[in-house]
Amino acid sequence: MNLALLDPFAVAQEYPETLTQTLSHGHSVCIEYNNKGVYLASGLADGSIVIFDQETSGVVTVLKEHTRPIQSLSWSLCGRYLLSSSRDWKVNLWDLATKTVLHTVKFDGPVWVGKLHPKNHLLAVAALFEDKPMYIDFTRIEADTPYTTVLETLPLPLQDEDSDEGSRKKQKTEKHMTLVACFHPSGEFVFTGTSKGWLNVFSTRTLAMVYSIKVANSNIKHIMVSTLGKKIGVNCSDRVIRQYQVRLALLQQLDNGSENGKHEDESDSDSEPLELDHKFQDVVNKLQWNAVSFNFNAEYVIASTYGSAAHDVYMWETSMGSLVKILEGPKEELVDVAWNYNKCAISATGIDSGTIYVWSIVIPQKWSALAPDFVEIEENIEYEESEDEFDIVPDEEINQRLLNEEDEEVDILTRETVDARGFSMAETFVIPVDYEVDYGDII
Amino acid sequence: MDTSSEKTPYGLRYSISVPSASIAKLSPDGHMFAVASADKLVRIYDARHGRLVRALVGHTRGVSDLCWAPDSAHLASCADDMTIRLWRVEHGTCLKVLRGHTYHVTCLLFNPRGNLLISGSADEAIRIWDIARGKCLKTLSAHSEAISSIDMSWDGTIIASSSYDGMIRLFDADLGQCLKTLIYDRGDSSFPASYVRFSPNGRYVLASTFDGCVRLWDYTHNKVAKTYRGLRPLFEKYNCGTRFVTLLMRPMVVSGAEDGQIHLWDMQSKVIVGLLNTGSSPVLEVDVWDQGTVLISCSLKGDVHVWDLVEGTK
Repeated sequence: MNLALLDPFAVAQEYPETLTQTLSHGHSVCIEYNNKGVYLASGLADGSIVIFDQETSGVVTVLKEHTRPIQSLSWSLCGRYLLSSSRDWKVNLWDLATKTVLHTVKFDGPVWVGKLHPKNHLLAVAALFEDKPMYIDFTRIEADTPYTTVLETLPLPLQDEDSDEGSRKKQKTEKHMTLVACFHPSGEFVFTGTSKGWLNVFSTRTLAMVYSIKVANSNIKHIMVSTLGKKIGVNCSDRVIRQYQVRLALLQQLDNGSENGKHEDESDSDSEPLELDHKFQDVVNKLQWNAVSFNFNAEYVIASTYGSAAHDVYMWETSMGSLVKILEGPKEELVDVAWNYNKCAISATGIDSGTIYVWSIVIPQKWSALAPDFVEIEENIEYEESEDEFDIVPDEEINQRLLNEEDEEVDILTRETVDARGFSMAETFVIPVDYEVDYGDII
Repeated sequence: MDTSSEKTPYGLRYSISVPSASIAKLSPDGHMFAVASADKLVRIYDARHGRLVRALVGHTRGVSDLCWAPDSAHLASCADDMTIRLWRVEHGTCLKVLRGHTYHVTCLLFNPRGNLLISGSADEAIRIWDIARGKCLKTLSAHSEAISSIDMSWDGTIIASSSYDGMIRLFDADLGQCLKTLIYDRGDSSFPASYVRFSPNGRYVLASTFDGCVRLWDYTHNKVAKTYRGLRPLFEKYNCGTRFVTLLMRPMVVSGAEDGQIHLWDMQSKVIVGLLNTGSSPVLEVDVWDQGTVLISCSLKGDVHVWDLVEGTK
């Protein structure tokens, strides 16, 4: 509600420009904001997970179970559950109400990425080191282990036809390793990226591959789907971030088609489910990109730069594909980046210190707020005395006039549902504050 | 207006006498209430029968305000000893002492998420405390007299404060900036502001001033939307609490008054719909639970009254 009273020009800014804060608690390697932007989860190199409260910039809780560096974190929509994946071969589902592990899945190797289903916190997908990606169902527990299904890249339903192209693809995919996986916000599809630059799409309904596209000739390091599901950013080792437009309807068609056995011939459809919009790269310095993140409506995309010489976060605008801003400040390479939609802030982790750097919007104090009759003006105004300015009006008359104005009905109950930036104001899960613990001791 | 007091919407459940009490507040779960006293104690009572459960001992001077944590298991109190204390209710243990104010701490508030404490003091400052670390995050110094009361909007982003300097200010809880200032001045002087309360949706502010009126401000438009008056000025010297009762079809505004009567107005029509008599001592605080199912009042003399909404008053 505060946003409505602040300087509207400052509130309307679409991206932050000023490094305002650093958060430091252990060596952070990956960060993730919850849906409301209230909490920031930070995975540490020692396997702990630290939850920061955006309001106090302090630690809410430290979750300790993993024994190796955290690889990725993923919040549930409600904000109560957190999925962590680690190099200790485990994926943990945490319940933040009790601050305990709800479920653990142990794989046969390190886990690259684990992501929670955007709508159901009991479903997840994980990309494993030198193994096939797994779909995890926490609702089916067998022998204390949640049920997992391999997301098979073979046989590819679309490429079963004995066209030359299909068999060529088939041969290639055999050597592929899936490096990244993530959900489409609808929860209907999983996107995975392989070491040979293939972007595969799986249906979460059938767990079968519905679409596949060759994005590049190199590793896919990172996939980011925008919150609204319209755009997907693919970060590859060839120093290019490719932005694709997602045509969900076409993917759904493919999904339904594959079940009915009616494979739509790819050449027949005039548009692809994924279509290349832009390529973001630094042509001059040929920079590699560490991590990518969209803002809420995917109007901007940010990426952290690889290499000890680069300490910046680059920001492009996604409709035209032009570079709009380079966020500077830290004196070290930045690894993971995250965008806090609600607060319009950007965070990045430093590779050497493990510090989290936060850029946010600086809103100036409105001086006119300090007295009811102050008005901020752009330039001097010639004061003109109004006709009745010095008329003497009896107090009673004024009071009566004011009282007469009070007849309007007022609504003291109906709450606003969206804030000035358009985000929902619905109350979400609050991690219970443990008043007994002295958090000064945690650090 | 005398007839309206006969069909009062509240019936007295019981009343107890607490030595030198100043503030009584019901716990969020409605099972208990806490009373802050000038005799340095905070007393916890069970709400059903009004039996004393526990006394919280620790403050070295009179306690001026208290606030329940959202979990109902902890509470914070502030006192003239310039400290704020956080208590575990079950064992009466003092968990934390927050120091920083340089004069009497007059009012105290948890934010809705329960991770921050907001305090107002006679040192003219409002402080925002991080409870987990027990440290002061921000000091808002924008008033020029003692802070009399503070409140927070339901989403926890705006702090409203009233001060004896006559101003009602709204602050951004996150940035600490002043967002708005409201002054009711007719003629040249403004009266000290003694109590402030956000409407349930946070779009209006109910403010009491020592000209004896309670006003509902439409703060976005800087204007008074409603003025609530008694037969006599409601208060000229003591801070008397106000609340909204929103359980009924027509919402009500409740306020204590110096004549010992709790005033109930119809929120829209400003007509007095009930007067609850608590004696002749000024009613310093009123608090409601569950939108007004239970009402508690505390008078200067130390009488705590617990009232129930009469069935069928809808």
